[in-house]
Order: sequence, then structure tokens, then C-alpha cells
Amino acid sequence: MDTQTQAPYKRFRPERYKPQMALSWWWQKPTYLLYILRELTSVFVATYAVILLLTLRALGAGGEAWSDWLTTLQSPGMIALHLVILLFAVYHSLTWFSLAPTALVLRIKDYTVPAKALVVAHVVIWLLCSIAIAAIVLTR
Amino acid sequence: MQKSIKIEVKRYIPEKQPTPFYQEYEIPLEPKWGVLDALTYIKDEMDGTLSFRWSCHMGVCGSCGMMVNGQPALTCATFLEEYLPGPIRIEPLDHFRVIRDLVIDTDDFMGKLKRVKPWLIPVEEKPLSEGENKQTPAELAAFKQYTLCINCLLCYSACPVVGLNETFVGPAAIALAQRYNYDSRDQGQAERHDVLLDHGGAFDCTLIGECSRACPKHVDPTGAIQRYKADGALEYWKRLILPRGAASK
Amino acid sequence: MKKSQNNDPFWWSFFGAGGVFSSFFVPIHVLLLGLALPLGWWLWPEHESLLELARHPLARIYLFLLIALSLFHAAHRIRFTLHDLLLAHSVDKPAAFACYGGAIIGTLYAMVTVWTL
Repeated sequence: MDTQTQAPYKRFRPERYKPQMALSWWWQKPTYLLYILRELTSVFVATYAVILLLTLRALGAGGEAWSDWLTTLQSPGMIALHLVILLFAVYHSLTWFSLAPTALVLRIKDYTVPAKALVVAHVVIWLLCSIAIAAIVLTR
Repeated sequence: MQKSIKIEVKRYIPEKQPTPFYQEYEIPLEPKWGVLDALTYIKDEMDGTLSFRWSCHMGVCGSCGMMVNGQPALTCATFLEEYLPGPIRIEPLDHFRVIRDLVIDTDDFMGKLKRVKPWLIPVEEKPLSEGENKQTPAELAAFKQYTLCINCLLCYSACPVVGLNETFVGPAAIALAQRYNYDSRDQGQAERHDVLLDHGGAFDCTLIGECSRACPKHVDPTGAIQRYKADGALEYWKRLILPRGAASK
Repeated sequence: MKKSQNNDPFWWSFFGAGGVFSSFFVPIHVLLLGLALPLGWWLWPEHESLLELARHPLARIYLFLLIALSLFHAAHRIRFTLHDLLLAHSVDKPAAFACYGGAIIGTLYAMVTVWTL
């Protein structure tokens, strides 16, 4: 027998069984489900980008258009939508920060900044940015 | 105290029937037995036709990876006591072609591993007379974690992207590519970029993170792939913007 | 060196930048403009002063980046999620076209909106 060959072994039993992934694969492990939820935050991020765009258009269209837009935002449906968006947006932020250390390795001389410290730093910066934006808008 | 435990094994015997089936075995429950010991007992005492791979029995060789109750695991390092009262379902590693019973076909992985060139690629070979290649502890620390991979393929079974996308080179191959990319003696980054930037490379990964959770050696392929994406994206833009040849070293 | 036929690193770069930007800044905007403003949780500035604030050059750049990068971030994720959920490679090309195309249209629209504010 030729033992040098690199060809895949199939001299005697060439059959292979290849299992197929189920459509419900993401439902089979909690970690997969959390992953899909994390990915679905993107739908809400996109939705909010569009809403923000509409908000800017209303803002630019004059006082009357602005108060019309406010009335639209005050409808229960829009409030509920924003609650859901907020929930997913916060989940997006937290998952993004917690995964940031996988790509980001900070070395200061021989010292590697621990992943946990990086996550905490992200959260602190996030809160500071949020407070800053709120202060700029609300103290006009 | 429980005296026995039920083991459900997914069997595939191509000459008998074209689809796999489950077979149950009731085996004595010995304290300190691993799942691999249970399979060995079945093969020795109950059913000699059962096929599975194993070698070192001590978590080093990476041969005995299987799905244990749906989770990829080294069967030598997984104990029956963790699954009481049972039953324990044992299946071949997910996403691989099965040759027979619990034995998977690793050819596809071997091909992918070779594509990322997991060996030292120096610009020019240093003659022996110039002495050894020295490395500082910090230079070793930059890649040491990735050398711990034992090619057990648990990460491939854990990764849905591997199952969804047959061309994806996979977690271990990218971690091993990074093992050489981060080695101070290696200058093969450009050649590995060619593979990892392309279709089937690191950008097929969607950061599920399950590979690192499954890894018995704490190699952290997730981190290796994420760090590659950061390096690779930079290289991509260099190749796009800079004049030819300026990006590859 | 081989010229890569794969554009994913290109889109991934915008996905990453958008992920950073949106994770830091989207929640506070949802809270302020989507809940605090319509529910009257604060004595809000008048329309004129808000408009003046949004017309500041830095605010224009910030708002444009926030919208555009969020769209590119989401486009990349939605494309891959569709592939993951539907298990079909055949949807990937049309999905990529629709997702990135939508993000490009949204970006152009945001550019005009912010410019003419």
C-alpha cells in the first residue's frame, strides 16, 4: 500500500455522514441565544439612526414641524418603541464594551492591562459621555 | 448510591445503514471514570464494534473530543459523576463529516490548517554558525498562549460559523496563524494575510465567542481572531491605499 | 502579496467604528430625545436654541458621524445575522446589497440633512 499519498483516505469506506445544522441552532444553547440577541440590537440601532435623522429634519423644518414631531413622539406607540430601542441599545453598549478587550490589548512596558479594567474604563467613559451630551443639550 | 448509568451513543455504520442511529448501553458506574473509560468499557465488555479515537488519556493528544450531552468535550477529561443520574448522550464532534460511529474526518481541517502556514517563515534562513535565535521572555509571552493548542477541534464543533460556512478556516487555524504572526522570529505575516483577509478568513467570524468557552487549553481563539481582525483591517487599508509593495513586508 | 477579492475587511472597518460610536452615544440620545423630551422630564430648551445647538459645526459633524456610522454598523450585522438565521448562502449577496446600499443611501440623506440644517 502506498503510504506516501496525501490523498484523503477512502480506499475501503468512502462514505461520510455530514450532519446538517438545524434552523433553530441559535435556540439550542443560552450563549447562542444571547449572541443572536446581541446581533439583533443592530436592527434597533439602525431604527434609531433613522429616527434621529427624522428628528433633525423636523428640527430644521421650523417651529411648527418641530411641535408636530413632538406630538408624534408623544404617542404611546412611539414611547413603547423608544423603550424597546433603549433596552437593546444598552445591551448593545454593554456587550460591545465587554468584548472590546478581545481585540484591544494594552501593554504598558511589560504590564498588560487586565481585560476587566478595560471593560470598566469603557463603561466609565460611556457614562461620562452620556452625562456630557445630556448637559450640553439640557443647559441650552 | 447509583450503581449504573445509561450511555446513549450516536452510531454510524455506513455498510449497515446510511443514516446514524442511537444505541443505548447500561454500564456500571465506577467512581472516577471518565466518559472515555465508559466507552472503553463498552468496547471491551459489551460491543466490540463501537469505534472511537483516543490516545493519551490525559488531555494532551487531542484525539478524544466528542459531543457530550451536546457540548464539545475531551472525553478523557469529562467525568461520569458530572452527569448524574444520566443518561449521557455521546455524539461525534459537530460540523465534521463522520467516518464511523464517533470517528470524524479531519482532512478538511488539516487542509485549512496548512493554508494558514503555521510554521516559521523567516525572510532569510540564518546559517547555523550564527548561533541560536534568541527571544526575550516578553517576546515569548506575545504568542505563548497560542502554542498550547492541541488541535482537538472542540472549537470547530462549538462554532456555529464553522457549521454554517464550510469555507471558514476556523478558530484553531487562525489562533495558530497568530501564534506565528506574533513570533519575533517570523516574517510570514504577508503570506498569512493573503489567506486570512480573503473569503473564508478571519472576517467570516461573527464573534460568538463559543470557541474560547470550549477550548480545554485556554488558548482563547476568540481573542486571536479579534486581534487579527484589527491587524488585518489595517493591512487591508494599507494594501488599498498605499502604492504596491509598501504594505507587505 | 495577493490582491484580496474579499471586501469584508472594508465593511468590517466601518462596522467597528460604528459599533464604538453607537455604543457610546446612542443610548443617551434615545433617552433624551425619545423619552425625556416627549414625556417632559425636564424643562426643555426652546426649538430655536436646540436648532442653534445642532447648527454648531462640531454638532453637525457629530450628528452626521453618529447616524452614518450607526447605519454602517447595523448594515454589516444585519447582513451576517440574516445569513446565520436563514442558513442560506444564496441570501448573502442580495442581503449585502440591500444592507450596505441602505446604509449608503441613509448616509447621503444624513449628509444633506446635516448640511442644510
